[in-house]
Parts: sequence; structure tokens; C-alpha cells
Amino acid sequence: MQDKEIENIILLCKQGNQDAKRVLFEMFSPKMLALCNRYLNNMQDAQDAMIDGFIAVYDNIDGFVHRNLQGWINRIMINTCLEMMRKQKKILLQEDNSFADADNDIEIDNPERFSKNDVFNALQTLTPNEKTIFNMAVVDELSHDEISQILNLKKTTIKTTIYKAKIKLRNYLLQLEKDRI
Amino acid sequence: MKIEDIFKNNLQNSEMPVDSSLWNELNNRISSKNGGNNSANSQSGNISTNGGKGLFNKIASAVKGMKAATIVSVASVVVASTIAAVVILNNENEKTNTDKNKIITHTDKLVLNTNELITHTDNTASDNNLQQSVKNNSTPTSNVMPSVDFDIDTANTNMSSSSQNIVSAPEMIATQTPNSVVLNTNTMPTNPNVTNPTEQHNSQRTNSKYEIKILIPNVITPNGDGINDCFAIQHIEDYRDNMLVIYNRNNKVVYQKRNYNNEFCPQNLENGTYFYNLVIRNQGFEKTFQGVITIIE
Repeated sequence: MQDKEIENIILLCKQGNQDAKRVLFEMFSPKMLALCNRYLNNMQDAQDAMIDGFIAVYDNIDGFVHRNLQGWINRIMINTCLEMMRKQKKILLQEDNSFADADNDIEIDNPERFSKNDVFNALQTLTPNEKTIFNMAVVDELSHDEISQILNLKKTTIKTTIYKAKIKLRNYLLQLEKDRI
Repeated sequence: MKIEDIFKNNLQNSEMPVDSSLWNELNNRISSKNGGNNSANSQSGNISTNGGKGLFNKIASAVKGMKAATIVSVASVVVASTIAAVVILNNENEKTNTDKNKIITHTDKLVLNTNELITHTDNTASDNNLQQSVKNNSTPTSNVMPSVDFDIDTANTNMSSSSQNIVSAPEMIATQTPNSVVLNTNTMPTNPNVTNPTEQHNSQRTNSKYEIKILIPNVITPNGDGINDCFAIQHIEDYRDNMLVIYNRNNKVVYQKRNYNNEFCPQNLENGTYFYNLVIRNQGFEKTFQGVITIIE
């Protein structure tokens, strides 16, 4: 969809046009549902979080000034998911002061051999903390500064957690392949 | 290829089919909202320009309404497991003033009930989706489970002190994993390490037996006044199979002891920072504690 059209839709949404809201919903809901499911890994919760998120989007669209509509909606959805996890006491964020050589890259050859499903399942093997931070940092590409602000954690904790998560994921994927043979 | 790229490529823009009923639900929520608080909307618009931090407050109120609906749907899942838990708790309470025979029958009941609980989780494990929904929807269950474990533990220690017949009861509980439950109750005292490492790892999170409950001080004042003179680790007597090493700041070993039982009361050590390394082995499960002690005369 073209930028002009999106701008029109945003304008109409600001005026409270119901059809425009529906277009916006249909444009973004498949992606947002996948995003919420990635955080909450439960369809029912993901749907609830998405609806809450869209209500927040419509409520706050008056103040929307950014260029990147998708990024803005992503952020709102992430916040909604985090709020939901906090309510359900699923994440217990703690500082992790253990040392890890977090600058090393972890690589895997021929990533084509893993399907989307494999990758999604691999993500579910992480602990809720690791999953949340990995999701925010790697998949949704938030900066470490932003994450440490949102989650109220030190940057070193985030770095270590991501590194540990990466090792776990690699081990899972390699094990998966061994099991297949 | 970097592992983060794999995940980014696969998951970043993935999509999921959205049921059309969701829009109706959303639509209802919007229209019911617009009836009441238009002024709130314009306020929240300002908040978002300031960086979206105030969003949480806004969302919190929205979530509240939603919560009620989800709880109803979740309730049925929760009820089954909470009932099982309540039964155990009741048994635990009854037990306090009963004679030996009764206690023994109660242990049978307890073990039976924990079996039920475990098979309950085991069944759900076979169905991935269900497991997820149970795990995630029902925080009450996850809250109840550890406390149940704890009650069983205390119950068993009480019983073992009151009657010799069931001394091995804690071991039965300790080794209860979905596959080995029946086997272990029959061949109780033989070997508590039957569980394989992966199972141990899994049960480490849920079973409090694998949580080593000790309290390690970080300051000692060996000046002979009788207060904090020794490096006294609380409840270390429950874990006799341990090894303690204490280093000074130059990584030189100043104290080393197997089966440490709070004997370290240094008389001629300098004030300052020391490091300890405590390995505890408990029924085949090993854990290392590391930390800092400050010695102040």
C-alpha cells in the first residue's frame, strides 16, 4: 500500500472513521497476531492482547507523528504483551550478573533446512525472560537502550541473556537435526 | 549465517490468519468505550507524543475489562487442577492429630494424589496446544503447584520423625517423575538417582526437592563475641555431601573442607573480602554456590 493511502487512512482514523479503523485492523492484524503469539505463545492470550493493543492504537492515533506506522504499532503491541505477562506473573525479570562473552557471534550453516515452524518451536524452548528479551532485541530490533528502559534492567543483563538464549537456540536446532537423521 | 538473522528472517514479518469475529469484538469494545469517555481519548493522545510511556496506565484500564472474559474461559481448565491441590492440602491438615496407622494411610493418599497431579500434567504434555493453554492461562495452577510440593515435603519430614515405617517417604516424592513414580514406590530405598538427567533438569524447575534451601551469610565478624563468629550457613546440616573452598583476593585457598558443617571461624585472617565456592550434592543433583564474604573483626 502506498504512503499516500496510509496517510489518508491515518487521517480518517483520527477523525474517528469506523471504516478506516477496519482497514487499519485488516492491514496489520495478521502480523500483529503473529507478534503477540510470539510473546505469549498462546492463541487466546495473543488475541486478547491484540485487541487491547488495537484499542490503544485507536486511542492514541491522534498523537501519532512518526513516519513508521508499522514500528509504532509494533511498540504498542509489545507493551500490551508485556503488560499482560506482568499481570499473569509470567515474567519475573531479574538482573543477571554472570559473565558471558557476549560479543561472539553464533552461526549456523545452511539455515534453509529449518522451517518456520522449527524456528518458532525453538523459540518456545527458552525461558519466558530469555524469550521476551530475545524477541525484543533480535526479532523486533529494539535497541538495547530501549529494552533496558522498558524492562528496567541493566544493559549487561540484556546482553548476557541474549547470548545465553542464542546458545540455547543453536543447541536446540542442531539437536533437532540430529534427531531427524 | 548468524543465528539472530535466521530468527529475524523467519519470524519478523510472519503472519497469522485472523478470525473475522475478532474485528466484531474490537468494534464492540470501541463503541462501548466511545459512549463514556471521549475526553480521556484526547488526553491519551498527548501522552503518546511524550514517548508512549503513559501507555501502560491506559492499557491497564483496558485490560481490566478484558480480563473478566478470559478468566471465565480459563476457569474450567483451572478448576480440575485446583481441586486436586485442595484435596492434598486437606489431607495435610487432617494429619496433624492422628495415630501411626492413620498417618500411613494418609501417605498413601498423598502419594496417590501427587500421582494424579503428575499424570494430569503428563496428559496435557501429549497435546502441545493444550499444554500451552494450561501453562499460560492458568497462573493459579502454577502458583498452587510449588506450595503443594512444599507441603508434601514438610508433611513427610513430620511423618518420618513420628514413625519409622515411612522414613523413606521423602525419597519417594523426590524421585517422582511421570515415568518412574510406580517403580520407585515399590523399590523405594534402592536408588533415588533413577531419574535420567533430562528429567532431572525438567523437574528442577517444578520440584522444590531440587531447590537447595540454604542461607549463606555475606559478612562474618570473628571477634569472639559470639555473634556471627563463624561462617554459618543455615540449613547446611540438611546437605552433608558438600565441599567448601574459601579463597582470598589473590585466589589463594585459605580454607577447604569436605562435609562442611559451620566450622569455619577464622581467628588469624586479615579483614577484607574473601570468595567462597560451595558445591552441594543432594540426591544426585549437584549445585555450585559462589559468592563473596566480607570479614570484619
